[in-house]
This record gives sequence, structure tokens and C-alpha cells, in this order.
Amino acid sequence: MGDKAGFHVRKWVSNLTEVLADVPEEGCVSEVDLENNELPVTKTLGVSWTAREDQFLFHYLPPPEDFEYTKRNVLRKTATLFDPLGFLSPFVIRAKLFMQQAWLDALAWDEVLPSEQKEEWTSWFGELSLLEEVKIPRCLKDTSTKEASIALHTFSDASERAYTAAVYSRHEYQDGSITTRLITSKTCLARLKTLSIQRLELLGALIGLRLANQVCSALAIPSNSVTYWVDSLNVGYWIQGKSREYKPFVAHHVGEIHENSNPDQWRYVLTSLNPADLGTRGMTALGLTESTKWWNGPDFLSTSTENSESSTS
Amino acid sequence: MASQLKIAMSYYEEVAVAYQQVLNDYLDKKYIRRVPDDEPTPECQWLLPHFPVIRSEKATSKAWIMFDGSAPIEGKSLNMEALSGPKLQSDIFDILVKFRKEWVALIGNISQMYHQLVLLPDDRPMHRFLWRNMQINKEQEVYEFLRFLFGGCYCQFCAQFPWQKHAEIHQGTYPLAAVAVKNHCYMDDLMLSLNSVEKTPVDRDG
Repeated sequence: MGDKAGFHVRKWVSNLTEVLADVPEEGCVSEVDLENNELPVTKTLGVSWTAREDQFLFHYLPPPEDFEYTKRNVLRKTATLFDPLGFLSPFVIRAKLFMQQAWLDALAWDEVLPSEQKEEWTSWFGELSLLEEVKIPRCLKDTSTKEASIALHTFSDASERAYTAAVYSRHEYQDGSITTRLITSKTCLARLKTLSIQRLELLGALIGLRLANQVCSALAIPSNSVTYWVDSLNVGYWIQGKSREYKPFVAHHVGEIHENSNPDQWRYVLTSLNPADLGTRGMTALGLTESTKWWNGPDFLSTSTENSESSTS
Repeated sequence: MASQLKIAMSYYEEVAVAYQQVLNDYLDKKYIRRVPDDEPTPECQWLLPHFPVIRSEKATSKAWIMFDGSAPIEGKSLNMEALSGPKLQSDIFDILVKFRKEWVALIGNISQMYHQLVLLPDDRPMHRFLWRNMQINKEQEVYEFLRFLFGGCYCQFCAQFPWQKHAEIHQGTYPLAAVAVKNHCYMDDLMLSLNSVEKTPVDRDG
């Protein structure tokens, strides 16, 4: 069809060699060698994907030896981390917080950072190469067994400095097995004008709501298949209550939550089990690669009685 | 020092060769034309600044040429005067999330998408540039694009519209390809996932 329109589509790649079997060789990415069953790593929309392992990967180099630690340079280097789905949020939030500190200290763009900040940056950049160990399955579900149902679980959290939301898929299969995977996450820095933690928790819940709804529309699943988990009793109380009784800030945001979800969808989770907590506190690259809590959510999602470890607020 | 200079020189020579190759290729494919010296200058014309973007990590095409539609001259640029048109494509976020949905993954790329689109004759003089074919002593020559190019703010819309229009026209014959173009395409990249292999070959000719 494309050729009829004068557009020639090439560089075809798939995770299954049989899909490419009837694509003429010159239409495939040059490294695809169908006979040897080799599939390449490709970069599309800035995201690296290995066709054979069917995984997303990251590959970043630390800055060169003679790198000058100025606000301009660290920002430029940080901006090369392209992570549109927020897989690396717990790692990236640290850089965002360092950057905010540089602004608070009112440093000029080309001023060399004070040694304390420089050290923080050096260790953060030093960890970049460890991100190669991050391997994220491309497909949200396990393909070997027949799926029965999909549900989404969204977690949110806040600290004085940042708030985070993370959305997980939970597939239940016909044989009773369950898989859970991180779909996407988002972290925002708290604005410098101080808001109470409770209000930041509410903002966290709100970005969770928006993110989950965006995922629902992309995956074409109903918005009532999302369960929202918060670790703030106060936010739970606000959402269960009637928004008219609150101050404008709370009423306004709770209003948006009520418009787009049902209070029954909101539940309480212990902070220690909340994966969004990792996104607000920050993690080392090594910690991130090993964190099943971040990549798959808390263990209780994988048990069939999904709220055994928590209670409805 | 001398050897470093040599390395630098040969490096720039490589870029220069690649630059000239791209332009020769454009001439061969009739994407651009040399404007004859005796051709009367139209009432309205625009000379685009250009510079190389070097991609040392790429095995093919060491350098590509960026024509800067946003560069202002005397307070005006091509992109300030042109209208960008509505956004037709889906978000990167949506495309990536959809790409994770089903177990068969397929990606593809449209070859030189913008250069497949012919500029209207009236618009061509707005896409001119100077080049002297690597001969420093020579007077600069004027070249003109006959096709769309990367760098104009309107190109995204002008490319997406016919691409989606064709998908629509042919959706009876290629229903899956039509869906792929409409919902799984970001600029010149296609990225989709499907729930069975049998369905994929339909897209192949698309």
C-alpha cells in the first residue's frame, strides 16, 4: 500500500522471524539475517529495543574526563536520557533534585558547581553505564499462557520534594497464574512554594489518575479496571468524602478525581509496600536494576486475593 | 600536534565528502535543482542556511544536512511566516504503550518521507540554498528544492496528511495497514504490536 502512495516502508523488524519471512531482504534492517535467526537492536522513537529478546534497553555513556560541571553542562548531559515511559524515574529523580538545588543556590549557567554538588553529579553520572543491566520486557503479558483478564494498578506517593505515580498491568491467565509489569511512571518535583505533604500526596494521586487514564485509552481498556493505591490516609479520606466541604485547592483536585474515577477504586497501601515511594525517594542505578518492587509492583499484586496486605480506607 | 591536525583534517574531509554526496544524490533523484544563473529571480525567495549533523556512531550516512527553517534573518524566518497546520499523529507515549500490548511486535520506517512530497511550484523559491560544490574560489550557486525537506514547521502536517489519506483510501484492501498508519505511526516511524502472525503479512506491502 505504501508504495502505491509513493512512500516506501523499509527497515522492517519484528520479534518473530516468521513475520519477516516474506519481506524482501532489502526491506529489512541490514543486520537481520533470517537464516541465522538473528534479530538486531533497533532504536525507534528514541527507545532501544532488541527484537530477539523482545526487551527495551538503555545505553548511556558517562561524561568525558574533562567534563566541566556547570549547570549548563549537567543539564545538557541529563537531557540525553530519553525515557518517555518513565522506566528510570527513581534514578532520574535524583538528577532532577540536584538540578533544583543548583537553581536554589542561584548559580549561573556557566559557573562551576560547588564541590559538594559536583560530587553528587559525578557519582550519578558514574552510575549511567550500569543502566545497561536494565532489561524491560516489551510485551506487558506473558505470551506462553492464555490470558483471562487485565487490570491496572496505580500507585502514588509524595515527599516534601517530589511526587510520583506508577502504573502496573496485572494479567491473570486461564491457568490461574498472574504477571504484573510496570507500564509507565511519572515524577514531578514539588514546587518551591511549600505545600503540605498531604496536598502533595493529593497531587501525586492526581498525576496517577491522569497517567492511568492515558494508559486505558491507549490499551483500549475501561477506566474502571484501574485500582488506585495511596499511602496517605488523608487523601483516602478526601476522596471518600464530598469535595464541596473542602478548601478550594483540595476541592478542585478531588473534583477531578471524582469526575474520572469512582471512590471505590481508591485503596490504602502501606508505605513500605508502595513502589511509588521509590520514585520520590530516588534509587541508585544498581538498586533500580534489582528492584522487583519497582518493575513488578508489590508482591501482594501477584496473589489472587489482591488486597490481603492492605485494607480499604 | 601535526598528527592531531591530520586526524582533524581527514575527519572534516570525510564530512565534506559525505555532504557533497548527499547533495549529488538529491540532484540525481531530482529532489533539488540547480537554478540557472540567467533565470530571473522570483519576486519572493528564501535562502535557507544549512549545516552538517554528524553522526559518527552510524555506519551509513556519516553526515546529513540540516536546512534550518527557523533561522531568523532580519527578524524573519521561514517558519515564522509559514503555518504549521494541525497535529495529526498520536503521541509517542500512546504509541509506545500500544507497542507493549500484544505479543507480535513489528516496526518499520518510511524511507526519506518528506522528500517523497512534491512542493508546489510557487513554494519552491522559498526553499533555496547556496552551495559552491567544495570549490572555495568559485562563486556560490543557487539550488532549489522541488520536494519537501526536514526543517519546515509545516512538513509534519504535509507529510502526515497524504500518508493517512492513502491509508484511508486503501483501508478496504489493507485494513490493518490503515490502522497501523493512523494509530501506530510517529513521523516516519511505524511501531505496532499484533495478537497473531497471520494478520501481519497484510501490512507488508504497505
